[in-house]
Amino acid sequence: MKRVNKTLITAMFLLTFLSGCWDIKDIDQRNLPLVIGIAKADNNEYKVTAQIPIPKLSGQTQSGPMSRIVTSKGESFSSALGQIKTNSEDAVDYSHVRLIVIQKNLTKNQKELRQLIKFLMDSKEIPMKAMLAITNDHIEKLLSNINDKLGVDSTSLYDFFNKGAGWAPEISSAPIWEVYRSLFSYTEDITIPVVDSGKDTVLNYKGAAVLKKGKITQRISPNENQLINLFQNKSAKGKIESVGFASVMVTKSTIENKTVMKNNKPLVYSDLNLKIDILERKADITNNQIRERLEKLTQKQFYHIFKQAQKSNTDIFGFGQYFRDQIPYDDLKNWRGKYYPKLKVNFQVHVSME
Amino acid sequence: MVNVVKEIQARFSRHDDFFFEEEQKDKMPFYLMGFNTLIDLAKSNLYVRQVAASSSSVNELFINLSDQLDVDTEKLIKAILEGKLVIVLGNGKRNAIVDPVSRNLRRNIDKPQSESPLQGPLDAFVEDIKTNIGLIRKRLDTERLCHSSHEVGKLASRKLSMLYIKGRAPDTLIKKINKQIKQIDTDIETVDDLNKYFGQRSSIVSHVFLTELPSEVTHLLKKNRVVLLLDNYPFALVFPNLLLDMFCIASDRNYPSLLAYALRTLRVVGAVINVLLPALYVAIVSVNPEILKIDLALFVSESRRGIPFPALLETMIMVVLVDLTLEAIVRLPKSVGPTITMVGGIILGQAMVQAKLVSPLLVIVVTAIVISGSVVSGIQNSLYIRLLRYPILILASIYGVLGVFIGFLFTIVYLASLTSNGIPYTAFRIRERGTQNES
Amino acid sequence: MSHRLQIGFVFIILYIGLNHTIYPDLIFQLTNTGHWEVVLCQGLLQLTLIWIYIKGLSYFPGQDVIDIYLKAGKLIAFIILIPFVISLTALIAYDIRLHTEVIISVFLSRTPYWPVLVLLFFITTYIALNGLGTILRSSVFIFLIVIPLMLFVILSSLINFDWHNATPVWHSSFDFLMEKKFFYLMGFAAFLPLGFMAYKTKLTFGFIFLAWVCVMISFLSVVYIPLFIFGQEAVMTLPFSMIRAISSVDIRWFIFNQQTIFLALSLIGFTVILNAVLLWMIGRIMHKMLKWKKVKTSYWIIVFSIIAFIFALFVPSRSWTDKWFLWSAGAQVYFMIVIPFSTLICGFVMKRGRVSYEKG
Repeated sequence: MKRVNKTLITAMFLLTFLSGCWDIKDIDQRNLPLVIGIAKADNNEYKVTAQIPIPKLSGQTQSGPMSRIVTSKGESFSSALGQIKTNSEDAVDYSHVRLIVIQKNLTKNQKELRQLIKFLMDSKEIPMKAMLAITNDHIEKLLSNINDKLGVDSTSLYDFFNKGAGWAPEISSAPIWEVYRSLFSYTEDITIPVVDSGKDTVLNYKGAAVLKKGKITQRISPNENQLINLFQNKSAKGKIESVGFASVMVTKSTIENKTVMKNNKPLVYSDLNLKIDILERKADITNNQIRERLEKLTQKQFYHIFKQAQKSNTDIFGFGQYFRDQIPYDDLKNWRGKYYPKLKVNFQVHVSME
Repeated sequence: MVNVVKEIQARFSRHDDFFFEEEQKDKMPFYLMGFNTLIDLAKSNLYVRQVAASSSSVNELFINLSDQLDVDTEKLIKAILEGKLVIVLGNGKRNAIVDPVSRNLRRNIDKPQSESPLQGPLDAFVEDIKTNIGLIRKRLDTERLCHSSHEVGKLASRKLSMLYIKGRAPDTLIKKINKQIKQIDTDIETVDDLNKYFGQRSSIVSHVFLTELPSEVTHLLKKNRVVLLLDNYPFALVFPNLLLDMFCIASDRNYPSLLAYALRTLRVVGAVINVLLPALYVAIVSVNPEILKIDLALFVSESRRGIPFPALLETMIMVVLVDLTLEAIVRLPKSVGPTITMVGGIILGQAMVQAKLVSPLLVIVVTAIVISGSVVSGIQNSLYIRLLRYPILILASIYGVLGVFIGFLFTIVYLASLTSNGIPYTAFRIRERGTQNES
Repeated sequence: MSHRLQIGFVFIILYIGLNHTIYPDLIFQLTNTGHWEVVLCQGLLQLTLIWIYIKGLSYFPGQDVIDIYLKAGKLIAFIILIPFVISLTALIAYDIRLHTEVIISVFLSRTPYWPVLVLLFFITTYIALNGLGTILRSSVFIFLIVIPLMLFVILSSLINFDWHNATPVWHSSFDFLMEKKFFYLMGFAAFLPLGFMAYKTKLTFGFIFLAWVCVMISFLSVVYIPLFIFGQEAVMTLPFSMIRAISSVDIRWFIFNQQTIFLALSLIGFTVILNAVLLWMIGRIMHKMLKWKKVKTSYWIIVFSIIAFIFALFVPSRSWTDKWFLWSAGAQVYFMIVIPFSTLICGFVMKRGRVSYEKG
């Protein structure tokens, strides 16, 4: 027993000489890209652009670009990623990618987009919680804009999409795994934020694109996106609304959904309770007027999006989720085609004052 | 001159500190013998004379002086070696072993040197075994405190006392230790010599827990342990050594219990940090940087830029240097110690970072391990914890975080596999109790 | 710490070590709705087997399964236990290989298989060599370290939950009971080692029942966390769904980027104990069955761990691992039925024999 133990321990120490047998790179010899942009080049190749922060040498206080942009092309997304690895002087480690921006021209092909998302999900290197965004701009322009204004201050990009309720309730975020989920889900679709390079700020939020099984069916404005967020139980706290003759701030919002299934016709009673604070108003406007106006406006907005969504059979509000326990599972896959077009939503807004 | 005296003199002919004096009582010569390095000759002489003056006959003198009368020569020689005064009558018919006035070769009871109890009793064990037992007896005035003393050793014999509380310490354990002590057939110079008899163990953890504090010993005695005391060794050896001894100190219980628990948790955290932190640094820097949040990763990357060593080497250098410094401080005389600390601090902390040999982050890590290494009680414990981190460090450099974890598991299993006389090292307490009644 | 409590901890560890990898994937393939019914059915079936097993063992206080079979006859012992040893070896090989794949997918993506395999086999063999006492003691510590990590991981995954994803809750038919996959599912159980630890302390059903409840909670969480996060439709396409589910979690205030490492580490902790127990069982069986004087238990353990290592090393690909792991789990089902029932029968026969002997 003792002898055996000793031999085992010796074997263990022999093992230590293996150190360095495979590719271990210290952290300062790795490049950590933060943002990856994907676009379709003219010759149908993938063009991948990565923004890589360059750590300052300690003691050095130079200003100037502290990150750089690397671009490469390839037959597929993965080969383009590999190309960056080959061309870079240090090892490239994609495990810190926070944002993946897809140029609009790539999103037109449903099959390719699906493939891309699946690849991102299965990739061992790229984390599945990286955000997805779509841009109308050229990807290089967007990234160099990020580069100029942000440098290494990387968290600000993440914060852009996760400001949290109370700060900017319009923004939606779409991590890869959520997008992947929506590719397969019978009852839920997802919105992906659309951004542009801003003039003064890093990014400009332009609303969102609705993705249905990998196909973009609809564009919605930031304001409308907020409504969608409301249905996903994200609070609208902090949102400032202008109702023409007054502007108000939402201080609290709750939503209650009741679902009924009548002869295969789904029906949702949806009650939105808003608590508002009036910031400014024109003279002679009563509280009641503001309240009624806001209720009407919101309802109108909702029905507007909902109608459009119903036309394109995309369930952006995720109503289908509520009906999962009322429709047999085998029938659920027909939700978008069979039930959703017949869905009636009774949307009521109740506004109360602080 | 009689045979006995001649024989003794012959035995000690190579000992210049052996004295041989002749006295008389009623015209009967008698001889005093002993070592003047152990016996205060002048005072002992005076004592003998006083007794002689008050005794009416030689016979009475001998009876008055001692109750060890008329023993054989071998015993006399042994008594001389032990520092006793031997008196032999001129005709060799009578002899006696007298307890003389000894030279003061003992230290006084002093403050503990290797432990610093806060708000606890401040006396510590000394070299003299009787004083030590006395210190314990003073605290535990119960008849159930048992004491069995042994003399062990081949060349030089050494006193070994075993103390336990009857009815607390398990009977089987006492029996086993008694048996093991009786098996001792070599000299016991160090604790490790003794350790061997408690079971073969080529391990870094000792069977016994060393402590200098009588208060700690009495506490552990009440917790069903057995305490061994060696003559001329100012530490009590508590058997068995348990993992929790490292974290729980008797003087903790002078605080409110919540505070005591917080302190103990802190010590556990310190020990874990000490073992894992350098390994975690290596793992995160060289194998698994992806587990850090990006801000932190960039910060680490920045602090390491331009450093020529790989992370493992860098960490090894620093950890070894720090261990060297710690060892040097112990070895050095107190007047030089602070210099080393200062020079070490400047070189390790400042110069190496400025020369870009190690990253500033590593200096923080090393500082943390130096501090956390000393929170556990017992020097030996803190030493073996320091040793444990090297294998984990190497594993971490190969397997990253996985290596750290497996190394930690390995440590746990190793500690769990240790037993002393059937009592596992990781036991929380000794549950089994002995019987109270003599059977 | 009493042996009984330690055995309870080990029982939980053994189960959790098994159920995080393929188990949820199997459930998702087996049913689209009402996953808890499948889990509970499987759990209850196992509970019955455990009850029979403990009942059977209670006829032989202070003895383990090997002693019982040896009492019944050497031939019976050989027929039942030698195939059992072979299936255990296979289970060890594929379980470790499977977890190696988890490790590589989570944090050592550039490392080849064999060093990780070497490391895992080394530590399992080391633990097994130290014997049951050490396993029991160290598992308490591992339990105390790993369970908080796991709870943290599970709680942190709450932020990604969408409760609607688990609906429909009910599954009306029990046709899954007849499927082959349900049979495999039964193999994800680790109560057989109990019989080999029985010599340490007397097992009581009530105590094991408590541990079983903890195990059931862990089974349900393993199935429902991926389900709540991804939904049935997406989760079916994801292998190692539990680990995927955890890697979707993003906590902003936390200094670590991935919660997955904690899950993977805790899994490794549990797997190592699981395989060490299995190896120890092999060593004990071989040692007791073949009483060659010179061959110690430790040699058997090392020999079988090397055999398992070779098995694990020469698995060509992921899909093979999955398949072979399922087969070896399936083979376990056979023993899960045979061993409890045979101990019960042995117990009955012996008791009767004794009674009639006393009467006569």
